[in-house]
Amino acid sequence: MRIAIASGKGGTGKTTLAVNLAVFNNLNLYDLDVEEPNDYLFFKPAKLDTIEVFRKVPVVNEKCNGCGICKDVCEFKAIAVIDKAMIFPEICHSCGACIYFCPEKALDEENKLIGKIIKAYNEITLTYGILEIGEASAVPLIKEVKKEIKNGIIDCPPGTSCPMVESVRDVDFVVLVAEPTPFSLHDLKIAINVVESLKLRYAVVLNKHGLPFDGVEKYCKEKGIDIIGKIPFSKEIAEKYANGMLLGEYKDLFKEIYGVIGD
Amino acid sequence: MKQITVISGKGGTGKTTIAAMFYALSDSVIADCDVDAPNLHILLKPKIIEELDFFGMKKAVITDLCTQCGLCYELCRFDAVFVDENYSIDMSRCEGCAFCYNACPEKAIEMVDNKSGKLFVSKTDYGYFVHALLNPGEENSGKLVSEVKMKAKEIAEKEKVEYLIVDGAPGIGCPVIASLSGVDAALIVAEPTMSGLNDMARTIRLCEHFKIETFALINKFNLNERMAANVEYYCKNNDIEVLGKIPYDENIVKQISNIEFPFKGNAADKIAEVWNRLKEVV
Repeated sequence: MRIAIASGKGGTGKTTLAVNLAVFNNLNLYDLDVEEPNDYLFFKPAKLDTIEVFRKVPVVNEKCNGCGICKDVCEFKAIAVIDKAMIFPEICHSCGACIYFCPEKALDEENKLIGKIIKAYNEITLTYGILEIGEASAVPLIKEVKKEIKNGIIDCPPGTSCPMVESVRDVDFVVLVAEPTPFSLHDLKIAINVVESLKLRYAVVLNKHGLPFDGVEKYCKEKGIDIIGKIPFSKEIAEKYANGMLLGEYKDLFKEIYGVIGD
Repeated sequence: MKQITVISGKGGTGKTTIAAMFYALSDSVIADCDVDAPNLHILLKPKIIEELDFFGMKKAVITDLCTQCGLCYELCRFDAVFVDENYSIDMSRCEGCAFCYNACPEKAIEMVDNKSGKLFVSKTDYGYFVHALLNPGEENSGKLVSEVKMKAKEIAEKEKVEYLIVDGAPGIGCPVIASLSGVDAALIVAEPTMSGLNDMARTIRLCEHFKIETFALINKFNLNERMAANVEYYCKNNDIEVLGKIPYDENIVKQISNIEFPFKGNAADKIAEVWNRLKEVV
């Protein structure tokens, strides 16, 4: 089973849930938050494997006569033509149109490093992507990390736009992590919209349970959405998270949450 | 007019809390550039005065003229063309590159408008406010961020305010890059956790990459003073001034729960001190 951990709002506890769920149920863990991967901070792996990930960007060769067709077919404004074509690789989406349409065969393709996939062998196997700084789109790297996914826990990027959608697409179950604040409730509603439009099965885990706001619980009850676990608000948990430690004393809670998803 | 973007790398460190307080304390316009999870409007209770449609990249649609040659399927690098009985486009995968549109020998592909969100201009008790809502699952939040920022800048210039404050998105990808472009300074809101430190480090490198003057503040520093010291040490080694340390304050938690704004109490006072320091250095 592929279980995605997502949230909408950042900082609600995706990483906490993903890491502990994977470790205490002995599952593979995948970190698709390639812009800011943090799951690896909780492990001290004995062995690492690294795979570099590239995307193709065009480069101009000496055959260019400055006709400008490449610029006309580029929807991303990644090409300017003065005497010859000039490419802005950071804006390029690697669609390949300019190369296909160039009548002079004046564009070649070159590999641009966009990030790495790292496999860390711990008590469980963690596979994560890490995006190169300055690279605008996380999606091509996320797609490559996804090819490694068998069964297990998938920690997703925050938000509800393309990186999150790419991460939850095709999974068997989505856990949305919320915290009891009006901000989190607002973003949870957007995230629910996304998973419902993708026709995915989902449930909510409430983190920092015990904070005064009860809007998330009320909303879930009203809409018939299952809350399948509550992680208490506690200084000890915050302290352990801060230091990159697992929550061994809540082992049973993470087993229980996984049990509910499995049913 | 000075432009300041509040970012963090890691989500949930307190960007919105800090940015909203800066706004309430100053003669400014604020832009919520976290367009896939915007939260400022919850605090600011805006009166919307203008509503604009946002169009993302146009998307491809296959029409009746299609002769099933399959060229689009071969060319598309985003796996957006799929075959059932006929060829069709998965809109959620289409990036709008128009490669198929330009290549189709039958002219059987059209590029159609893609209304993917809304942009709002509002008035609040503290001045003008611009925010947006992206339709769930839409891409191109970088483009929407640029539009939100541009609109806010236009108003800030017209109203002759002193500051444009930008509440950024988490991460280091296109929405964040768009929220940083052309600003006078970035303020990184760090938290004293390993993840917070790790993400701040990547955010500092992003700001360096785009040559943006960068400052930091440590939020909830007293939740882990040892880790807060690590964050400070890292900043010092990278020539980033830490403008202040904000304590964890239950008052803020309660005030957010009850949506009482501007915030009051110990943490709020410290945020005001940071704002005064930021004004001096930018």
